[in-house]
Amino acid sequence: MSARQFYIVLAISVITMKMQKLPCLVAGELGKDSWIFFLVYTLINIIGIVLVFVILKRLDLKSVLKSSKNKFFNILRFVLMVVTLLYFLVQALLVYEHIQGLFANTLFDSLSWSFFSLLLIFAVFFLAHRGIENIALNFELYTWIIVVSLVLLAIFGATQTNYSVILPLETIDFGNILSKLQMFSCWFGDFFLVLYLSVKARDIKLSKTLFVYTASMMFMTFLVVVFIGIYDKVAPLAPGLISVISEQSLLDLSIGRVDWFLILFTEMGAILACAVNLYFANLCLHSAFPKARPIYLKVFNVAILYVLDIFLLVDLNAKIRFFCGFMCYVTNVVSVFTLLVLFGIILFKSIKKDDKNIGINTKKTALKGFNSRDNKKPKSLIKGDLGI
Amino acid sequence: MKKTLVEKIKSKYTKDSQIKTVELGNGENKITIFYIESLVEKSLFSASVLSPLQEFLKTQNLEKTKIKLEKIKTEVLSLFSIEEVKETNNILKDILCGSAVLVIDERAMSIPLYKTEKRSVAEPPTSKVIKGPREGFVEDIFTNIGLIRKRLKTPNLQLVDFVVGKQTNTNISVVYLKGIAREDILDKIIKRLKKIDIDGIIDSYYIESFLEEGRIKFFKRVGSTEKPDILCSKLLEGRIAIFVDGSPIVLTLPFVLFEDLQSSQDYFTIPAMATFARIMRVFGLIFAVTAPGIYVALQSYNYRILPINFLISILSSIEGLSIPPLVEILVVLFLFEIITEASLQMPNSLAMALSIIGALALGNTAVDAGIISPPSIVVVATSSVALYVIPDEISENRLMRILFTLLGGIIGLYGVVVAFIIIVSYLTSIKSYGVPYFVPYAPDIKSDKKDAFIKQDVQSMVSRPKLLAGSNLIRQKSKEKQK
Repeated sequence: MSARQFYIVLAISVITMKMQKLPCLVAGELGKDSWIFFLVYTLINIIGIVLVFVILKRLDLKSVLKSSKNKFFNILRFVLMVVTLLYFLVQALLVYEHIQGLFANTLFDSLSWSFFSLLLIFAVFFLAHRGIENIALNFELYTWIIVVSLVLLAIFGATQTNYSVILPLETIDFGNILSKLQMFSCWFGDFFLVLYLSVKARDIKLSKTLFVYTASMMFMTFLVVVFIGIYDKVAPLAPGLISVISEQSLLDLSIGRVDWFLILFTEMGAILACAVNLYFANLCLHSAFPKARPIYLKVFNVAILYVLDIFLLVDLNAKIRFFCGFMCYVTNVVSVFTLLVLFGIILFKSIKKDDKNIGINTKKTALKGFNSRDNKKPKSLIKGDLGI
Repeated sequence: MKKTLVEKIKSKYTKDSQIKTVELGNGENKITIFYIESLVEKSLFSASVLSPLQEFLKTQNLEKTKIKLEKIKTEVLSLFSIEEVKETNNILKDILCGSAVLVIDERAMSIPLYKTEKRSVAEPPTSKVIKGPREGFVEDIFTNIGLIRKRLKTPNLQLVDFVVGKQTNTNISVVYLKGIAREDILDKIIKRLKKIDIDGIIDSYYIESFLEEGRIKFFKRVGSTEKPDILCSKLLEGRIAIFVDGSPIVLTLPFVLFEDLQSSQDYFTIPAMATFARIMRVFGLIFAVTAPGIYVALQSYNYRILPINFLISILSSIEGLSIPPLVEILVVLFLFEIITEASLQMPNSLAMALSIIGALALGNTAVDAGIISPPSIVVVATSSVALYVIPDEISENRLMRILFTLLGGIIGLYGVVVAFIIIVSYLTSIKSYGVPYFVPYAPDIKSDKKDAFIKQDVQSMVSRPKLLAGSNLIRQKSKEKQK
């Protein structure tokens, strides 16, 4: 994956994954201060991204994903992979769930979602199966369509919104914002995306990554401001930020909902973002069980996604408090545990730096062959690459 | 008793009355010539082979001197590029390919005399232009290669020849520009051509399927052209051409999707117009494939998207229809497909009658009878016209149109969008001899975009496409340097 593709995937993924249910839920809890929530959220993730780059400077993530001679390391890697698998599956699920919500009123009132979602599940599976390079190519191809749609929707919305809603600034309740940050922490962890994308990307730079991320989140925050301005007029359980902005934007023109096509284009980005998360979930599962055939693991993950969506999260709105209450602990544990483990490995590596075998072989990656459509066992699962 | 070479040849074709034999001289100096009457140029045979040989024999003292093959070759038939043929099977192959084979003293030589029944070079029906060259390839491979040589007068134009097909012995030539085309791609193509083991190659389409990579062969993966000017520009970009004798269609590799969005007309107009035309082609393509599906989806599920006045007019048009929108549009689509197929098979004299019947049956009677509605005819008709913006990809687009219609009718825009994503994702994963299908947009290659959607003038196209050409990327000096 080229650096350009990396930045595109990052920018579109963070926007399309967050423009869905999260702003509605946050606005329901924080009202006018929701945009501050997103600013703090951005700040935390910027710190996370910097930490990720510190880790990447000292440690090649590819080597962490590989088996080692050291049993302790293997157990640690297994646990690490299982927890990150959980994170990516939840992210994929949240996006997936939203796509259903988008079509729910127009389509799935009369049709069975559990049956017709198989098409979407196949699409996501197919994209993830073809590999991150292919997903990145798709992102690259749709970039302008998605960006133009988002900008047009933002402009339409910006002309309709009431900006004074976010005032007065002095009444901002930071304590409440911080508690809600904890509540919605399952949406956190964009730095995870940076961390795992780096496995496949080359020549990425911290400054550019931070710029792209911050610009994307600033745009997102602007969308949230627009959304809050319009929010008064719509039902509290809005289907998603972009739908609400779009719904209000062209009403006065009496030209129907042609803006709906713009939503569809942005949803393409959401489907691709869902595939990115599923791909990394597959990657984690494969690293946890390197001997299993990749295709079985991919099918297992996608089946989990389907089952969770159909049977557990059939109505996210109704179960959101329970879901967030549970998931916030999982996400916090995943974030802290992952960073601690990675720093631990770096520390361990620096202590053992005299050992020649500690050198990590970046050329032989455990992920080689993972993207390929063949079901062959990866050739390079060579034990002892870490040589600890 | 051991058979002579002449007897061996005769024993192989005993039942073929077409193979003629001419015997000259006598005794040890007996010359036998084999040829097929319908394949050799009779006047050339008579004037340049038979008469000079007879004259030559008259001047020789046949009883004392023994005539050698080399002597005939150098003194009598020096005009021809003659080769000695060793095995009986090869001798027969040459006779069947239109050569006259001369046998003397148990040795044989092949004299190329083939007569080619060919049509004259004319503008191909599929790539007509208002401005620009009007020459098109014909069925004769030598004429076609000559048309290229006329334009590319360089020793770098190289040919690799093959004979493929056990029964047809079809001549195939791989043509490329040395130093520009990628050697690895050339090797791959030659390797694939060498592997072909088939009884016959009737047309370049037969070769195409052997050159395609990948298991699913739904989308076009090999480029083709009928025009020498287009082929020359493709060769200059680093592509490799495959000529097949008997076919006016020349195959080109590697193939990228954007090739079909370009037209030779684009190069004989101002860049702004070419850009506009290319954008229209893309919209036309997407419209052609998805319009019936989107129409059915809008009518069935997502009608709120439509402006209210427009919705009212559509509702009034479909009032009284007894069949659901999906069935209605499928009926119109199938009627259109049947008419298209029939018009292709029908004699030209009946085509007019068919159009009238089609127009009347579809346009008036079916609407009056309440079987189909006017909007669905408009949608299918415009979509069908739009299919022809990219004539090279009509087959796959016609099938995809039906797929999108079915999905749009069953699960609305959700189905159309998801299917679109799956298809595009599949296409992005395709590589034609290592070159991604969506280049120069996915992956993004800035320098290659000068001849993409936004076409720039010839002077700006300084470099060849990065992934197509080998190391020789520079086509011309930059504008500034030329000044």
